Amino acid sequence: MSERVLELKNLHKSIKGKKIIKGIDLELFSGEVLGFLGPNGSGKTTTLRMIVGLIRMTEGEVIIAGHSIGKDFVKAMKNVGCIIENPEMYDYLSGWENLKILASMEKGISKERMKEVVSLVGMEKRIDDKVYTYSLGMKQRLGTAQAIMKRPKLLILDEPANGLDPAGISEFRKLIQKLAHEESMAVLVSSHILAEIEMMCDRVAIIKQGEVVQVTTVKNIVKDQGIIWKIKELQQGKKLLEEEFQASVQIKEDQTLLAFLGEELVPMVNKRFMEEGLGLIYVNKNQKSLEDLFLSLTEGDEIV
Amino acid sequence: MLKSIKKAIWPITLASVIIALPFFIFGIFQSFDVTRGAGDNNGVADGENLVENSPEEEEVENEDVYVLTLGDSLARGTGDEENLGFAGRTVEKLEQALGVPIRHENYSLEGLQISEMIEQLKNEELLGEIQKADMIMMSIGGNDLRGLRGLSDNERMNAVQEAENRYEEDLDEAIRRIREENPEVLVVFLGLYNLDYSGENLEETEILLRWNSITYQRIEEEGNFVWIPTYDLFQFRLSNTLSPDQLHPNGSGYEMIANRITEVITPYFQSD
Amino acid sequence: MKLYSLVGNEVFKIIMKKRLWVIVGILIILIGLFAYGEHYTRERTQSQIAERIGIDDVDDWREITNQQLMDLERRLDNPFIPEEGRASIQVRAEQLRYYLSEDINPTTFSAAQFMSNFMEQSIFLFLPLLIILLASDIVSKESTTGTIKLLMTRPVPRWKILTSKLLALTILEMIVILLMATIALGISYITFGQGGFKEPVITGFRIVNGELDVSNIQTVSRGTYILMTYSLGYIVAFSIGKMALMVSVLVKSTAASIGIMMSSLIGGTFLSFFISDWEITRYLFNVNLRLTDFLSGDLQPVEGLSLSFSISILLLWALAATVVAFGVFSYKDILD
Repeated sequence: MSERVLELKNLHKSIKGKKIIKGIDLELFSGEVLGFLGPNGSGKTTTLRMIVGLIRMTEGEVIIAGHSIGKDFVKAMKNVGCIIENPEMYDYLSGWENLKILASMEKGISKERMKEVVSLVGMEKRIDDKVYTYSLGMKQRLGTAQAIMKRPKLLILDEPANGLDPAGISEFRKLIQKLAHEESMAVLVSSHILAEIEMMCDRVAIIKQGEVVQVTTVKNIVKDQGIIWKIKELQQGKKLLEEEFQASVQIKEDQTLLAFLGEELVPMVNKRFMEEGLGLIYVNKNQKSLEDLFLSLTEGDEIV
Repeated sequence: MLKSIKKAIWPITLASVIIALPFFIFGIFQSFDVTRGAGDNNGVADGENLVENSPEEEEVENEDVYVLTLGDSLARGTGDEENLGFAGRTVEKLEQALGVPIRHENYSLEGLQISEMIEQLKNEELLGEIQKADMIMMSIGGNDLRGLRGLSDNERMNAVQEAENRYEEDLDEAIRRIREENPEVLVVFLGLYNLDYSGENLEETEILLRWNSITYQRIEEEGNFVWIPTYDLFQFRLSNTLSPDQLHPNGSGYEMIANRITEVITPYFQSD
Repeated sequence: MKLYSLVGNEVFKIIMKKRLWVIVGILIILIGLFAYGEHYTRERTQSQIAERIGIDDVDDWREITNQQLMDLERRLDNPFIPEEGRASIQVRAEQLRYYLSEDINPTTFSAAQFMSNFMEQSIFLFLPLLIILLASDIVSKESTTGTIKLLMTRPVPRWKILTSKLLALTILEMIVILLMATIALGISYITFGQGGFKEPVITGFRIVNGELDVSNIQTVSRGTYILMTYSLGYIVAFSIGKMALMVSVLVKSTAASIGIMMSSLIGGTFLSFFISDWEITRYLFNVNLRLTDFLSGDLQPVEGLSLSFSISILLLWALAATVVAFGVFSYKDILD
């Protein structure tokens, strides 16, 4: 029962005459984690703010669970939990008091649910302390708690890993994936920590200068691009691979062989290279990482 | 415990406001009630009206009798419930008696002493009015005299002698200035009454009588000056004729004085 | 009725912030100083006067009042007093004469008297200052700290959010007035010892065409008089609060918010001194703050004001400010 939870239609935003967002279309379905990736100034935060109604769009529509933000703000936002930029809270109140205030603004968040969420983010011990005593990581966790309290269909996270230590990041990732896969939340995460996006997200949307330049699944990016061998006798290696393994082979500029064949054949190939004394130096997967893709797409960007 | 206090904050706040609200509404209505009817001119001293009647009025036809009043709070009418004083009441009676309209300007000031009156008599505008006047009513000297109250016997002797000398000189100066400006005008000068006829304060009574006599003697040297005694008027009816401040006459007191003045000066006008 | 809990949240937030307690602290210190000062001055004046006219019993109020009256009358002799000054002395002298004739003692000082005096003196500057301190935070601070985002991303329309803040502010304005009354009562009771709520007070003096008009004079109990002054105080608090709210919505920094309100408050008063003949000055809110002067028959700085006029002007300003606040708040982009 995959539902289209978020739809961005032809989103435009101009500020003081300058076009910041130039027509974004995007879709997000329940149960998936979408990463929102882009260099500074590309319009990530602006777009997220438009989704939750903090900024008015100049043109276009944002539809959440079938309700338009523009026409049906309340019904749309009932389905949304979010942290925009920093997780600010009322620091002269305790974590619990903050949650209570926010919960009272919506229907259907019981005390039990609040407690459940607090333990889910691991804040039981400090929840009654005043927020000004919290570290950044704790504030992040409290922020996440407030966002998921109401079991939203759509979860929007702006730079959620900010301030978390590696352990925290890992925990967080597990939490997000749990929410998406077990509770069918649609999660939209914006970040510039590529490794995290790679590990956390199912799909990635890359935004550059106010436009989405590519939307792709993470799997596609990291999908197999062949195997690379660095050996001394390149020509002989190529011949061997073509004849014995029916692989298509290229000799690359950097004096390596790029061959397309099943991974399971690699040990055999290695054995054959060694038997023939072709001087095997190393063997590697040829992978484009997200970073490569990102850099290639956003190459040459000046700060706008 | 702290938690339950915190929980109670909002309800208590709201409750106290709701309770206070009717009181505030009452207060506002009362405020409107008390300031009701306040017209547009509420609030500012139109200094001219309060202090001086502007002498910048149109030239009056010379047929009208023009009466000027100078002097201290007695001339102002302090203590009179109807705010007329002897001056206003005399003018009313005179109008009735003579059957002519009378124009009246009152330049008296509270607490005026004779030396200050002399300063007033240097003012060009005032002198101009004096020139036009047909009659001037004056009451002065009471404040000078009051400064002599409450002294010890020793202090009194010196102070009194000095004060009387000064008064004589000042009185002479004032009369001179008026005559210079208007040689013909009728000047009506009020005598002082006593505040205590019981005979207990003989020294002060003596001073008062001497004061009055200084005035009487000087006044009668002038033509067209008349001295109006008030001492006897109040002698047997002080309690009924004094205002609550125990200093000035009240309405009936002023009425008495006005009657006497009218009686004395009406023939002057009728003989014209 | 979700608005109930929204307003409750806002009230809770304001009370938990230090700002309200700073206000309470200021009140306590200042009222303490005023009370002490008043006490000291009165005692001194009374004994000076008593000494001068040679009475031992400082409590013989008629003598003292008479003397004060005579002093005023003497002051009027000075031919160099400007006419406006002369008028106010005249008015005061008339009031004293009235007290004498009605046998009302104007010299004793009581807690109740202090309370109403305090409000009369604070209503046009000190009270607005307190309210500005209270209100300027309401939206500015949340913009600065970013918590405004929390409020705006709930499924609650923006106008409701601002309404809840507005109502919370309105409620707290009343609380500030109640605090002023309570603290003034407490401190002055300790200082002066007398309650004095039943004491009759004359009010309803009016200045009409420069003369004292005593036709509408009424006696009310001092307790009632206090209710009147404090409710007029609330009207001022209410209006200033709405304006501060508007500035808070327009301006991000709390300090700038306070600065703007304070300078318009003070600047406008200066303006009224210098250009008191312009038609336009009477429509400024700053010259219409002296509501309690209408009760005591004191003179206003600008011509032609009446209680209903001033209150209307203040409420109009409050309304306009509220409209602007809602307009901007509902449509503005939260960029950071």
